[in-house]
Amino acid sequence: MRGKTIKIGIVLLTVIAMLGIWPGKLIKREVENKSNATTYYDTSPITENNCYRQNFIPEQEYIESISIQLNRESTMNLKNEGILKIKLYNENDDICAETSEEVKKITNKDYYAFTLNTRVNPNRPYYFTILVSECEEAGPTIKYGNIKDIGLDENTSIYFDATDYPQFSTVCIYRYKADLTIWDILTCYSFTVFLAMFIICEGSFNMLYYKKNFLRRK
Amino acid sequence: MRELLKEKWELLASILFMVVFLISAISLCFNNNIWTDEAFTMQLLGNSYIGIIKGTAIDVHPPLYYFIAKTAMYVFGSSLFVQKMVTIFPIILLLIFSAVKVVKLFGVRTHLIFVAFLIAFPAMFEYAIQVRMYTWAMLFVTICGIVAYDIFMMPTKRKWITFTAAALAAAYTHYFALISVALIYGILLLLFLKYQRENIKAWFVISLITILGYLPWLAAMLWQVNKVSKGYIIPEITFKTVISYFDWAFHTETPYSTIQFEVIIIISFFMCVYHGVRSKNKADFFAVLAMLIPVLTMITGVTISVLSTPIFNSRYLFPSMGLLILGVAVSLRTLSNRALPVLLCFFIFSSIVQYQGNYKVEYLTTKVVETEEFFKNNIDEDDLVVYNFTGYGFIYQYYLPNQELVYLGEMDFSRDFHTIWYFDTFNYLPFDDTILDTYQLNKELVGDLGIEHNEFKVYKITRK
Repeated sequence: MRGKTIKIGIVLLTVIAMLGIWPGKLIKREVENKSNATTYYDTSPITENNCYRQNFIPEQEYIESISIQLNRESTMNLKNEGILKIKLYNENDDICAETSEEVKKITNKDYYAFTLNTRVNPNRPYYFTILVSECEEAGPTIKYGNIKDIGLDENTSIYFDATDYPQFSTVCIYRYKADLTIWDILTCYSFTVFLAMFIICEGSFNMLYYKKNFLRRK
Repeated sequence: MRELLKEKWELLASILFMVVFLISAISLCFNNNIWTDEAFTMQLLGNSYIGIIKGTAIDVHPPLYYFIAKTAMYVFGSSLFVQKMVTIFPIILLLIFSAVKVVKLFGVRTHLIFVAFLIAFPAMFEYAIQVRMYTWAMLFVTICGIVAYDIFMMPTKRKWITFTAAALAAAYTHYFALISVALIYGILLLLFLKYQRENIKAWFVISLITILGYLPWLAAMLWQVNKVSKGYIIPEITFKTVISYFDWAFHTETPYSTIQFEVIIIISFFMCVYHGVRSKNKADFFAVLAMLIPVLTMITGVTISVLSTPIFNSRYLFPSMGLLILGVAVSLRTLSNRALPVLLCFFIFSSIVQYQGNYKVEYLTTKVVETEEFFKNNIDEDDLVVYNFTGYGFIYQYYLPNQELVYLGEMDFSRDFHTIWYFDTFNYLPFDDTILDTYQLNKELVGDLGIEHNEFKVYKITRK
């Protein structure tokens, strides 16, 4: 009776797990779109009054993070001041997500990921802004390049120094969470079912039987 | 009768998997993408057999694979496609060997699971078509392991000869295959010491023959070890690096795939330990030991790297993975008739995901076709090619075998030339534009091209 209850429990758990995979969509695929930075330029220093903006159209429903390359060097030394804030807006100028990091913690001249973890509407226009506050000296610069060079289909134009630049794009990485493909779903389903069948048919019940009988024989 | 029908179905299924794998692997070979190590292979194959020995002796690998590849080149031609077939061939041989030996030793069901898991092994599609020695090393190490078990069950002269030949072949193919077969020798000795003392003498004779067989290459190996101990390209190995080996082995684009494969391996391990202890079945003991070989190989590689110079890379595990997969297959041979088809479905669907990923990598993510077209339509024989990515010089040579290629740092712009095609890879040696005024040159951006792992701008430089 107890064994039957456990078996039913395992079957129920398996069904719940499978429903969670699909249609529940609790597991997502990671998709990364990265810029092909063959050459790039640096913006003027980004400050609270000189904000940087990238217009883009997301390709998936969920943005996990956006990584940018910051240049913290000046002609003299490495800049460590300020707090960099990145904010994501939708087409109605509503903030969807925001995050910040101390400039001194951001890796210089390499991609640094800013986690947003937010749902978006794919194929609708969004933009993210970058500004640096609490910085008395000139702030760090952002890397950007020719839009064709960068090769990110989602990017449309950038805005800084009070000017729109439709021919340029940020050097960045978009990390999305996308829905599983049919083959992913079938792989996860078959694994889940196998695990359940193993436990029910092969696993703990045989082990318990062995333990009971082996120990009894001893 | 029922058993016979079941076995027939399992055998037919395994043959179907083999055929589908062969077609899928071949379908990934119709491109001209190569990366650094493959370019090295192709360059080395341009030499004679003696030249190959000299060339590989100053590199870091033994020569057997290059001999095999060179022979295939003489017979079938010098194209990249032929070399990719040379790399797929040992996997087919392994599957055929399994159809004969594994079926005989462990049954049809083990062979079926072995074939399905081998094809589903995440790194398989990548390495099956990579113009390197890893699949040959896997073939030799796996045969060595299987025959070691066969010898333990009932030693014969023929089996000892096969065992020695496979071990030597592995040792002459890759050094970490050598470590894996050395571990197999060690484990066999321990088993003989405990259970079959009458075979110890034969073991020592065979070990001596193996060492003598390796003597011709020993000096080169010691020279290479000494060279590498002074410094090598592999970065320091940390705990994170070791964890990444599991990702290398089992990661696919399906989320949590690494965990899925690891769970199956853990299940297999505990199953064969459980069955082995319960019924004292030798096959289950073999399964445990087979699964330990890659673990022990990794431990050896990491230990040497930590104590001396980092020399271990995740792909050096590939040769011993055949035994891990076989161990899992042997252990899962007792799966119920209901669970087996579900497991096979998991392997099939996982293989499809990997095939799609590899197809994308081979055909959709590089600009090789566009680049080759550009070279064909624009670069004349007496033009000069200058590049700033020093590590890619010999790879450019593969695509432009008849062209004069000069590294930017060694280029004398005052010399005579018709046209210079300058390949500018970002973040490598920058071009000093003052040269244009000094030597009265024009520099014009004409293209954004790329080959595997290297995208570059192309500039046309001419005299004013």
